[in-house]
Amino acid sequence: MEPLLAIDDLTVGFRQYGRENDVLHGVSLRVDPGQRVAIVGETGSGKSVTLKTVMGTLPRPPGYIRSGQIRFDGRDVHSMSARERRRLAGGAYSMVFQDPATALNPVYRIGDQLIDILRAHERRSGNRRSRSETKERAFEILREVQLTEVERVFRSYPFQLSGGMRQRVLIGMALLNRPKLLFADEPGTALDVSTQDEILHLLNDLVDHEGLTFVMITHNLGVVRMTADYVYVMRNGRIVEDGPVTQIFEAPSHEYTRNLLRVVPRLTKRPGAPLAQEPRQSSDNLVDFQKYTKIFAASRSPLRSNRKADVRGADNVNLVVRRGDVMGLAGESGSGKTTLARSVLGLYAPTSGQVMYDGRSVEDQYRSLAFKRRVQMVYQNPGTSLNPRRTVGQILQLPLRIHSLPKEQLPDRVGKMLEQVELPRGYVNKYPHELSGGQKQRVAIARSLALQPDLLILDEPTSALDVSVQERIIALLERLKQEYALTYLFISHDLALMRNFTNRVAIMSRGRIVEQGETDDVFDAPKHDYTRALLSCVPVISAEEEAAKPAIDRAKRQQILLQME
Amino acid sequence: MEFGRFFVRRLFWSIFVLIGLSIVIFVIARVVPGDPARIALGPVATAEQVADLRAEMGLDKPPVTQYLTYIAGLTRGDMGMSLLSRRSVSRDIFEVLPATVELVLFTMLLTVVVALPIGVVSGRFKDGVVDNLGRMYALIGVVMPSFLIALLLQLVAGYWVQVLPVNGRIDATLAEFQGATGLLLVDSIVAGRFDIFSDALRHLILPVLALSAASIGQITRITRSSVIDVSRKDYIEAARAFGLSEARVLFKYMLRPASIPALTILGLEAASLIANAFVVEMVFSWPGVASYGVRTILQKDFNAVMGVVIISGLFFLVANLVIDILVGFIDPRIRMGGRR
Repeated sequence: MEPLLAIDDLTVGFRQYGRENDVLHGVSLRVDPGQRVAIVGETGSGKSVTLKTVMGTLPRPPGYIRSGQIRFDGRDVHSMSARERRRLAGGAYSMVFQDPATALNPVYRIGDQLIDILRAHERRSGNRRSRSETKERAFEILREVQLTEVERVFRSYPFQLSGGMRQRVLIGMALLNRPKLLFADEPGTALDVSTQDEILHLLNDLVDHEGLTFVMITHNLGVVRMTADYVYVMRNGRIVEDGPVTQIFEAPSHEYTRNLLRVVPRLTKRPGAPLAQEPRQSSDNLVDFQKYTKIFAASRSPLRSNRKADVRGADNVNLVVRRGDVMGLAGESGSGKTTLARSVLGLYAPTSGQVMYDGRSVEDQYRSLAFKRRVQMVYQNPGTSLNPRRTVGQILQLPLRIHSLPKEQLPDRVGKMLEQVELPRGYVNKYPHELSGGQKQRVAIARSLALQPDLLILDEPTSALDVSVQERIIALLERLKQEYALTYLFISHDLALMRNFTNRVAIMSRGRIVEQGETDDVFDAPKHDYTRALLSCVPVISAEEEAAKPAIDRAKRQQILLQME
Repeated sequence: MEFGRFFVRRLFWSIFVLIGLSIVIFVIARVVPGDPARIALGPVATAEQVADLRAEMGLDKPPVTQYLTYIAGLTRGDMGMSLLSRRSVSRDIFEVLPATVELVLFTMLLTVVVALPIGVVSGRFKDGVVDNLGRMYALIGVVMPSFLIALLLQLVAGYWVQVLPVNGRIDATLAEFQGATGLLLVDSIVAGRFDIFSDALRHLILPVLALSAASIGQITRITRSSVIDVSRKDYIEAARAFGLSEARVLFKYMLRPASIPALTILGLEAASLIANAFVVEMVFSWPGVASYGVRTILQKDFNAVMGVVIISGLFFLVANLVIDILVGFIDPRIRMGGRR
């Protein structure tokens, strides 16, 4: 069979400041009609560059194609004129963009943007539709991606729609001109699991119905298992392994693939996970939310045209973190996880109820240095939580100096702090931009430990990192916890990660805690429908995990998730 | 509907700004040393004469009363009496206002017409010929003081080459021409006097060039960097990936979001335009508000100074109101109070 897309020995480089740097080295792959192909890789693997080169959106310069061939439907794409290629893009093949928040033009209505795409291809193909026909096609595509109220969506600006709706619009845009081949860049990974699950099902259905060929790039192996039938694994600009999806997941031949599968967090209990195993009998409450409610009042200016409702960041929360716990706080975006975390730090005054820390109200003590010494936070994105103009040494010294440690002790302490997080002492003079994401997060962790706190609040500390890096950071956190007898309040949307890292979890939705308990109990026998629905949405990488998920059919799940909204 | 609310909201805040401005100016005018009545009457006047004038001008009343009287007058378009011309300040100002409005509006128009396209081309073809020339021009335009540019222009175009007039708004032989609005370009067209139109236009060229040098430089650079910024956005890559033509991507999907920062800066630039107009008008003997302002400041004619400041402030507010409405029109998130 003639492949629909064939990439042959593609080498792509970047030329910057007179230096040339190859980022793809002889990549070859083929996609047969009707196939569903996934290209898997971590940051810097070259999967995005591959996709952009095929789509013709690689910025050139600085990028350039050194050698190789791209054939689509038997035609050599690479030797085509820019104009010819533009005709293919969005027509014969198209692409679903990753981030619904940024891939729609913010200043034009959805309808405008849809019609522009339709018109661009009509003009080229010569068969012009009438105004009403164009509009009808736009409505049709919006219905096809299962949006309701298509007229309202058509008239809306992107910012007036939810993330899930925007993602559907983006899928619609890609399908407008009935492409043969659909690319997807990290489909659904910028969204919450429940929305991601819907989007992946929608893509699967569309690919089935329209007989599309589907190529996606992703770092999420769970997503691959759900949607692909053939997999290419990329690393450092090379394809290291390819094969049918079952072969890749069950009998990976390359060391890298095996390792990748090993480090993905599992939804089933992993023997030997240090923290989840440890029995804890302590009844010493370190943090205690007592009927805690925090309402963020919307502005009430009569001059505002759109009056918004108040937001309940936390709604009558009762939650205890015991000394020595790794307490997981899980929930989708906007569920109130971060509100609770910040409340522990005293950054939010309660609307009613209170937060106790070690027997005393946080409100009474959060201004004192002694309290700040005991509670520290590690932020999600180490790229922005470290000052880019300060060296690692200066960053690590700051908390010590604020808490007036004698100056002559500083260099030695900083060195020890670096060793603590397994970084060489020589890193004191480096700037954050010289470090990798994982190394930056290590520095951030070292900083939070500078004053030997009791409680560390970890706000999605690994969600900006690759899975292999995540695994090492989690291992570090596990070690530090035991060495320094720390207590963790761990915030994440990643339930699989929670499974083997925490000993207790609380599931949040809309400011409420819907379920809390020992991690084993919550995962093995979830009581609340919402927890069950959420767990069933998690993309997993083995049949064993699939079997461990709560059985719940799609319609019922939708109903539960909608109720919670 | 949504736009109406946005407009009302904007207008509402402008009023507060204007009230604040009038208070600040009023206080400054009162704390500046020297008795205005004494200055106006000169050293030989008797104490009674000074006291009479003070009473006539209300200077003997408490400051709050004075301020309220002034504001009450202002709402009727009465800005008090000039100490020197002994005429109503409003009349004096409205005589010189059209000349300045013509100058500043033309300058802003030229800025937009020249700076936006150059900025877009510079940003799209980064480090190309246009970008480099634009960068050089911007540096010179921003760094050189406007009076120096004005003098150089006079030297080149008025003395060495002698192609353009270097003084005033209109040739002395045509000076008796009077129109309804005072804006010569408008009045002359209404009256069908194209000789006057072309003469006024020729007089306008050099002052406008001198005044626009800095703002063109600024706006070019701002437009360039926001075009570069926008060109890296996902939605631009998406537009290309969906097969839109390059022209459509550049002039529809890129230009509109990229013009927002440029317009906002242009509004703020109105303030430095007014400040520079004081210098440029003096150099070109332009009979506008700014030259009037310079005269009155030098003579401590404080009612007139306040009038000039209030009018300048009003102009700045109106310019920014127009810009805000334009930006609100361009960006729905601002108009409808969405998240940015």
